This record gives sequence, structure tokens and C-alpha cells, in this order.
Amino acid sequence: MSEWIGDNIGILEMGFTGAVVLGLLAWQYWTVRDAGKPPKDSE
Amino acid sequence: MHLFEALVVLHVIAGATGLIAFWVPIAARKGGQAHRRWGRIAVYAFIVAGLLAIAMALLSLFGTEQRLPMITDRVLFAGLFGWMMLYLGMLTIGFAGYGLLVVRHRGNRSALRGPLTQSLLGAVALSALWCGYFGLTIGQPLMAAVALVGLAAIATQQFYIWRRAVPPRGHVAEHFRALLGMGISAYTAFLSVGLIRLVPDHVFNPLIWAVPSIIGISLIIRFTIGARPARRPSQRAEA
Repeated sequence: MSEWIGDNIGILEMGFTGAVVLGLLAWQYWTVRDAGKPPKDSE
Repeated sequence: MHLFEALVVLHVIAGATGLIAFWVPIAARKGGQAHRRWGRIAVYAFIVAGLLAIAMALLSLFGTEQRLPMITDRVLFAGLFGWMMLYLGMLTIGFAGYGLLVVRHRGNRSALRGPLTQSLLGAVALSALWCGYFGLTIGQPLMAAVALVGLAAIATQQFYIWRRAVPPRGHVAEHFRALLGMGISAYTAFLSVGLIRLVPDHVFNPLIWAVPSIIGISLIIRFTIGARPARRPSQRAEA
């Protein structure tokens, strides 16, 4: 198992990087989507 | 012409050379004359552009009041055009240097444990840590996320360097992952710090930041799978 991780660490690193980038996109999407909504306690 | 403007001109010339030359080794036959010649041009151009970016970042950090007095949010300016630009410059230089060194020392990984490579990777790690910390303190998680990507790259590079045994031709994957990473870093810097001056409202639009990563990661995964050797455990190379 550890050998497999070692041999594929480049792919794993790219998966991590891709997840970070997609996470940023998702974060920005929700930030923009929720920006125009009134706060919950004012409803 | 002021010092900063002169640095910008030189940075644009070096960066444009690198951004164009970068695609030739990707398209050319791997290991061929065009691959090596244009690859070296791209690497050296990006190293020069990275050094100039660091110089401009230092000027932005320590001479901003004189240079752009109309900018009111000095902390955000220091974060984006100072510490993050410094980190991206370091990251580009680190990727470029490691990408060349890992091929040069492909038969002797212990050479990568020497002071040259280790100080290079250490400088990148330090600049990433500071960029991430600064980003969190000023409420810019994007800076922390960008720093995290660089730290992950440094960790896998160190893993390859210090690992007891590596697969045959393991340096090939390291080589193109580092140099494609160099391209991602340079194109991200170009889009987010350079070209963004034309559309400043989109300075924190993650799509601007994501495009080079998406293209670069796709290329890296494609080349990694393509370069993977058949499983022959007896051929593992020790250093």
C-alpha cells in the first residue's frame, strides 16, 4: 500500500491540487450566490 | 524611467518569451533537440521573470507609498502584489530549477540532497508558508490555498529526493510535473497579477486562477499515465 502511494504520489498531488482549485471555485460560487440574500434573522 | 517601470518592461519581455517558448517542448518529441533547446529557453526566461517579479514584489512591499499613493487598502495591496507575487516568483524559480536539476542528476539522486536544491526548495516553502499565513490574517483564503498547492509540490519533490528507491525513469514524471508546474505558476501569475490590471474587478475571480491549473493538471496527469513504466519491481533504482 505505502509503495503504491509512493509510486503514484504525483497523481495524488495533482488530485489534491485539483480539489483545492475546485474548492476555490465552489467557495466563490456560494459567496456570490449568497451575496444578494438578506440575513436569515431578518426574514 | 523609474526603476519599477524598467523592471516591469524586463519582466514582460522575459515572461512573454517563457510563456511562448513553454509550449514547444510540450508539443515537440520528448528528449529531442527542439524539446531541449526551447525547454531551456523557457526555463531560463521564467527564472529571469521570477527574479524580476521578486524584485517588484519587494518594491511593492517597501516602497508602495511612493509608487501608488492612490491605493488605499495597503494591507490587501501588500498581500496580493507583495507577498503573493514574491511567493509566485519563488515558486516559478523553484519549479524551473528543480525541473532541470532532476534531469541533470537523474542517475544520482543524492546530488539533489545538496545545498543548492535544498536551499531552493526551502526558500519556496518559506515563501509559501508566509504567503498562506499572511493571507489568513487579512481574510484572503485564496492566498492560503495557492500557498497550499506549492507546499504540496515541495512535499512530493522532497519525497522523490529522499525516498530509498524510485521506479525506473521516475525522474521523467518529476521533470515534467515540475516544468508544467512552472508553466501553471507563470500563467497564473500572468493572468492574476499582470493581465488582471486590464479588468481589476476580477482580481479575486477564481476562474481566472483556475484556468492554468485545470489545463496544466490535465496535461500532467496525461503525461504521468503515458510515462508510467511497466511494473518491474526488480528494476527499482536506489540512490
